[in-house]
Amino acid sequence: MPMDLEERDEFRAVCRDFFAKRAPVDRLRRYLVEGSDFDDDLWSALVEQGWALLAVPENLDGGGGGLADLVVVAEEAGRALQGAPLVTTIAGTFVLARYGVLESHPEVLESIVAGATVTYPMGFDPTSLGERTNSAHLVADARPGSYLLVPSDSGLDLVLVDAMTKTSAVETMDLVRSFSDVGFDSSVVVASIDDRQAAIDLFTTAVVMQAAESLGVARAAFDMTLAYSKERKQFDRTIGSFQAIKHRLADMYIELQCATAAVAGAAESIDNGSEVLESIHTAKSVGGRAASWVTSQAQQVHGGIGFTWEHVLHLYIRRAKANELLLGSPAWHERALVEALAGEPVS
Amino acid sequence: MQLQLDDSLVSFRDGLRSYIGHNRPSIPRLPGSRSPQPEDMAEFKAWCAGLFDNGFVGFDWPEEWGGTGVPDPLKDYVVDLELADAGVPRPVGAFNLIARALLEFGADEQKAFYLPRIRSFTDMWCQLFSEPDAGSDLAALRTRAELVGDEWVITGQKVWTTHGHLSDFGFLLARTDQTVSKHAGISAFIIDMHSPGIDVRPLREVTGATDFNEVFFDSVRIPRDNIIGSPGQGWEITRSALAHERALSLREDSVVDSAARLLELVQRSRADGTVPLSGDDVSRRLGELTARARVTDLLGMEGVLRAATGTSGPVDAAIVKVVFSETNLALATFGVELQGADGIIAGPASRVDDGHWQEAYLWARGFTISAGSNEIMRNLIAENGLGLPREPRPERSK
Ligand SMILES: Cc1cc2nc3c(=O)[nH]c(=O)nc-3n(C[C@H](O)[C@H](O)[C@H](O)COP(=O)(O)OP(=O)(O)OC[C@H]3O[C@@H](n4cnc5c(N)ncnc54)[C@H](O)[C@@H]3O)c2cc1C
Repeated sequence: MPMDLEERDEFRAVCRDFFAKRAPVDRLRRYLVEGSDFDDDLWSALVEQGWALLAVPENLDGGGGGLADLVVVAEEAGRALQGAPLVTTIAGTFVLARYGVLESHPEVLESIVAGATVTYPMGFDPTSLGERTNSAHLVADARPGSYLLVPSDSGLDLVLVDAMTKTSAVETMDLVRSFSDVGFDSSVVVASIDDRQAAIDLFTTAVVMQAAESLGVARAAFDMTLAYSKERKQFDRTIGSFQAIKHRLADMYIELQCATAAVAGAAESIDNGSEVLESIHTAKSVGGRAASWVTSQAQQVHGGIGFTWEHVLHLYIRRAKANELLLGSPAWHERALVEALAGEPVS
Repeated sequence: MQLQLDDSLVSFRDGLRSYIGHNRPSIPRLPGSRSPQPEDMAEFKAWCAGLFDNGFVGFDWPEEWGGTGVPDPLKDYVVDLELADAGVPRPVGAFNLIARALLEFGADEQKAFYLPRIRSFTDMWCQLFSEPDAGSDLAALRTRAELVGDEWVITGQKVWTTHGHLSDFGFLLARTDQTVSKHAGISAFIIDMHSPGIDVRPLREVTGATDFNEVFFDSVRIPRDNIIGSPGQGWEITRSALAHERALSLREDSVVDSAARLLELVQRSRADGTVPLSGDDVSRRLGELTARARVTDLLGMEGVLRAATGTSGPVDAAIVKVVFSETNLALATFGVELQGADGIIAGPASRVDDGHWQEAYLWARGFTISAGSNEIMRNLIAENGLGLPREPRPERSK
C-alpha cells in the first residue's frame, strides 16, 4: 500500500541508514582498483532484508510499493552509488507485476524471492524499438540466473539468462555498474507480453527510477562539496565564503530541488496513470541535466583533488553522465515532451 | 499536474467561480503587479473590495477584523489560480503588507481606522522602501523622519515605487535615529500620499509603460501617531510583514501557460510556409523550457502544501523565486527568438500575438530584480539554507 508522507520520510531514513552501514563511501574504492562488478555481499543483504521485493504486490507477500515509494529507494541507492542491481530489479519487477507475470509464472517469483536479479537494456527508447530480437544492447548487470526484459515493438520478452547465453562485457565510463551485450536463444524466453504498451511501461518506469538514482548521485556529490567548501581554506578563508562558490552551491541546490520535484511528480503520475509521458519526459530533462551539471560543479569546487583518480568524485560524475545518456538523452525526452503535448509527431 | 482539492476546497472554488461569473469586471487583467489605468481605478477598487467582502481574500484575518482567523495557503492558491484562469484582476498594492504590519504591531486606533478601509479597498497602497542609494542594501536608506512637536517631518527620496502615482497611502520606511547602527535606526510609518510636500514623478520602465515612480518628500508633515510600533522597530516590522508575503509571482503569470502558448505559436506556419516546430532545435529547446515550466509549478505546489502543513523550509520561497523568474525570462526570450528577423517587430504591427513576446521579453526582467534580486536570493539560499558564511556586512551608523 502506498505510504503517506510521514511514513515515506521514515522509510527514507531506514534506506539511508542501511546503505550507510552496508555500502559506505569507502566501499567504493574497490571500483578504483578492480573496475565495475556486481556486489554479491551487498545483494545478499538486500535480498535477505526484503529490499529486492519492494515492488512485488502485497498479495504475493511483497512490499507492494507504488512508484512514489520506490523512487525513494532508488534515490538512496544512487546516493550510496552501490554496486548491487537493486534499481533495475525493482523497476523490472514493478513491470512484471503490473502485467501479472509474477502470478502466471510462479517460478519467476520464486527465483526473485531467492535472489534472482531483473534487468533490461538501457540503450533504448520507444522510437528505437524494432521487431522482436534475440539480442539486447547495453544490459546492466546481466549474469547467469538474471531475468532480462527485452523490449520490442511487439511488447516484452522475459529471458532467463543462463550459462549458454552469450554476454559480452562492454567497457563503459561507468565504473560501478557493469554493462554487456546479450545474445540469447529463443529457448530461454520464459514469458512474453504481447502488448507494445508493456515495452513503453518498462521504459517509463525505468526512466523514473533512473532519474531518482541520478538525483541521489547528485545529492551525494553535492553533500561532499558543501562539506569541502566549509573546510578547505585559501586566502585565510574557507572557500565557501567566496561568493562565486556560494552562488555555485546555491545553484546546485536549486537544481537538486527542481530534480526532486520532477522525480516525485513523475512517480506520482505513473501511480495515478495521468500525464505519464509528460511527467517522465520532464523528469529526465530536468533530472538528467541536473545530475550531470551538479556533479561537474562538484568537481570544479574540489579543485585539483577532485581531478585525481583516488578521489571517488569521478565515480559520481561517470554515473551521472551515463544515466543522462541512457534510456533517452534529455534532448530526446525534450522533443518527446513537445510531441506528447502537441499530440502528434513534430518532425 | 494539479493539486488534489478536498470537498471543502472544491466548494470554496466553485463559490469563487460562480462569484466571478456573476461579478466579472470589465477591466483587463494585467500581467504581474502592473498598475491599473487611472480611469479603471474605481472599478478595480470595487472588484477588490468584493473579493474581501465575500471571503476570498483576507479570510485569514482575525475574526474581530472581519476574517475567520484561519490562514489557509491552499485557499490562497485556489484564489490565485481561479482569478488567473478567469482572466480577472487580482488585488495589487501594498495592502497585504500593511495589513500584516498593523495586525502584528499596530496601535488599536490604527487598526480601527485602517483595517476596515483595507477590506473595503477604499485606498490604494504603495511600498516606500527603496531609495537611489538603498536597493539590495535596504537598511542603508537615508530618508529621514524627525519628530517636531506633534508631527513627523519627512525629508528624502524613494524610488521604484510601484503604484505610487495611483496611491492614497504609503507604507514608508525612514530613518529616525542617525546615531545607532543602520538597522536599528529605521522606523515604519503610514503616510498619506496626498500630503503637501510629496512629489510623485512617474518613471517609464523598459517597456515604455509606467508602473513605478520616484517619490520626493520635502518636509512632509504627518501626525505623530502615524508611526507603526515604536521608533527603531521598522526593520523588525518589515521583515515580519514580508515573511507573510507569499511567493506570489508564479501564480501571477503562469509559466506553464506561457509554454503552452509557445507550443501553439511554433505549430503555426511562417510567411514562407515552414512550421517552426518541425525544426529539431526548436522542439528540443521548447521541450526543455516546458519541462522547466512544469517543474516550476511542481515546486510552487509543493511550497503551498508545505506552507499548509507548517513544514516550509527557510529558503523554499527564495528557490521558487529564482526558478520562476529565470524560467519566465527564458520563455519570453525564446518567444522572440523564434520569430527570427520579424522578432524585432513590436506592438500590434507584429503578426505574432500582437507583440506579446516582445513586451514579455522586456517585462520579464522586473521579476529577477524586484522583491530581492536573484543574487540576493542566492546569498540567502547559501547562508540560511546551506549554512555558508555570511557576506561581509559593514555596519554603518548613518
Ligand atoms: C519592477 C520593479 C518594481 C519594484 N517595486 C518596488 C516598490 O514598489 N517599492 C520599493 O520600495 N521598491 C521596489 N522595487 C525596487 C527593488 O526592490 C530594487 O530594485 C531591488 O531591491 C534592487 O535594488 P537596486 O535596484 O538598487 O539594485 P542594486 O542593489 O544596486 O543591485 C545592482 C546589482 O548588484 C547586485 N548586488 C547587490 N548587492 C549584492 C550582493 N550583496 N551580492 C551580490 N550581488 C549584489 C544585484 O543583484 C544587482 O544585480 C521595484 C523594482 C522593480 C524592478
